[in-house]
Amino acid sequence: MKFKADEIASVIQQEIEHYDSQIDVREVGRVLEVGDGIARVYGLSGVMAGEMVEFPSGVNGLAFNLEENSVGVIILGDYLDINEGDEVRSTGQLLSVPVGDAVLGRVLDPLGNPLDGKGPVATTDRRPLENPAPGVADRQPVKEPLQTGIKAIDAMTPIGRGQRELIIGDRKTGKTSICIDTIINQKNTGVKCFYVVVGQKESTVAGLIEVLRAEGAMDYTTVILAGASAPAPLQYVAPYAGCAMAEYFMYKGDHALVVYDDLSKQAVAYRELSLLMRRPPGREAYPGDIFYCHSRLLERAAKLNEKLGGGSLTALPIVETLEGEVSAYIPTNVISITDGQIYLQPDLFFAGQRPAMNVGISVSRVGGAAQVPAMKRVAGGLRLALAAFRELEAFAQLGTDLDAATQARLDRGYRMTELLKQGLYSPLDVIDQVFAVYAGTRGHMDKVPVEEVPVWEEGLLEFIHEKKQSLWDKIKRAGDVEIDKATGRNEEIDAAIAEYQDLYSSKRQTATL
Amino acid sequence: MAEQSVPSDARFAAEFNPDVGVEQVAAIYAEAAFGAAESAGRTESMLEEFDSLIADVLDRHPKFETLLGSALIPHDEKTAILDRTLGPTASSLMLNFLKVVSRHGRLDCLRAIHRRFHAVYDAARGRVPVELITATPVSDAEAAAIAGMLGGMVRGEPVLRRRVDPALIGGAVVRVGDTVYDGSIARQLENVRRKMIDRSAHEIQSRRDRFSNPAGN
Repeated sequence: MKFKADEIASVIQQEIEHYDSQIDVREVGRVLEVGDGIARVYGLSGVMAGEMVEFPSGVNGLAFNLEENSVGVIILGDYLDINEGDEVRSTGQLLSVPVGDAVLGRVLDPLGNPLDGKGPVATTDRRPLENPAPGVADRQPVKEPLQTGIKAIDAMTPIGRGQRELIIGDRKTGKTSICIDTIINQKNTGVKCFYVVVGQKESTVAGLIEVLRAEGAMDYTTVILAGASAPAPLQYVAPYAGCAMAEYFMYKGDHALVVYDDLSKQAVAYRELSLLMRRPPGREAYPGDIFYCHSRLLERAAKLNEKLGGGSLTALPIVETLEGEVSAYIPTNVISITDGQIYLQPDLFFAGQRPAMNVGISVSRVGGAAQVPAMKRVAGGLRLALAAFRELEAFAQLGTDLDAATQARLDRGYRMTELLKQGLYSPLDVIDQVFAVYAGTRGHMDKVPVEEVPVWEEGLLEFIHEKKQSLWDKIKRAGDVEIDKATGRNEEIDAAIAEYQDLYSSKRQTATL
Repeated sequence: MAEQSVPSDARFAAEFNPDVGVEQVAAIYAEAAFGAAESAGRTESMLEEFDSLIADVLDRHPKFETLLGSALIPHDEKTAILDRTLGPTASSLMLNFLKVVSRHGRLDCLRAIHRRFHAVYDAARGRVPVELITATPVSDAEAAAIAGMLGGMVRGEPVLRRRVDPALIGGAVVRVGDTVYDGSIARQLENVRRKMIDRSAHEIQSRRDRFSNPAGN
């Protein structure tokens, strides 16, 4: 590409003509010591907590600790360029990130600088990282569903727009996969997604970005990346940066989803900073305000009232536990802040139950009100039935003889757990889920061998779309199904599934012949 | 324009002390010494004496300074040494002050105390230390004019300290406390540079097609 020299010259000329020299007034200090991502600065007597300061190398910092004789600054960038005795100037500004449509589809660092090599972010809108959460008067109850596309979650622990649902579990139990599936499922819903990466392996993240791109999810998704090699200050601010970008859409009346992957790493980064700043350590050496660090972040997720545009910001924080220890400090903190949790267990994961969600202790405190009515009617009681099944299963392992009724409940349970298994990156539409769950809970699968359940289910959904699209469309439009109170059944669906059942068994017979 | 209270530049050479703890200790002793001198009505003479102690004794005999600062020599011996060396010439106020500092084992902070003493003195007399940095040396008349202008800006009487830094190219930089008023040519050029980059980047981003040459490629 060739540049038009005269065009550029005219811009520069305009700039010079309009330049009026002003005396540059600044408040300065000197670096006393620097290292490990923090600097101690002498002077800066008028600096305010949280104010951005600038080092001569152009790197920015954040006034973190105001002490009697010095200021503790966390360095957001390369601290190796900063020397003892350097002049530090205060900027009088708060840390902010670029926001707007231009950030969608990008991979950015927590300061909004591009990491994907696609050039600068073309927007002039900025939002401060730290922004007070909306107050009670600005909110309304969560009432719209946010479909994850995962049967087990949408049926039993539904998530609403504006909710904060914690995803908790040991390493390698599929926490990230649930969130990626959820992001992929937001296609064509208008929900903007923000995936905040804190302290994760960059090779894994590169893979995830590739998946999102391949699934067409990068069109509405921003990845905010502070990987394992990023200095602690960047890991600490990354969730706030993601939240600020997502908030922009919420206050515009749109819907946004932000995933924090994960907050335990952010807590570790914050602990590192606090200890370097000599703040007194508390339990597990975390500083006293670690709870506030997470609560002020998660409180910013909200469903705004209609006067403010009715936008929403849904947060899916992830917390990693060690050996299933949910009573550790950070997990208990975040559990108490969020509106429910999805608990993933390694033994379920290795038993092939994926998503490895423990249904008994996973809850959604507000999502029920936001669940699609059709799903609510079909899946009501599923949680309890599954919990009863797990209990019965443990009892049945003792090898005692079982009566026919108990055996039937066990068989139903095996098929239900099989039905709730779902492949990676294959979210289902909620109406598809309604059909599948209906078939399971109403006993249509009781005659299907357990190992054939996934094939049977896939076939059912295909059959419905091919032959019974009108019924599917009807439920989709109404968002509801009529369920007979006495029998708990819907005749139309029953008839459709029975028709498929005949087809399936005849097909199976010909296959075996 | 008031003359700065110490003629030599020595006190500014070590102005930047990275040890915040020493500065804090020194501030306490300086306040106390200043209070004692004020109530005795001999602040100016004490100041002069203190300047001379730093410039004529400690600067010239570094080993003496090491000896005073050393923790190996007990307080009794230090008082005896002080009596023998400074006793004949120093005022009783100065000598007592040094002995008090010695008793608390803080003689190693003497330079910091001296610096703080000046600061306390300047503050009490309504003087504001101002650093004037220029590209070329300024004449006394020019300095007086600048001080006159600054009189309206700072609370109190500006005490100018001049420094020459050719890197500024032109103009002047005035530093009052932690605030820097930068009117140098170097800073203005830097500002113009930044603005031009920002503006050009903005123009390119807002209309990418505008800068490409249709004939070229």
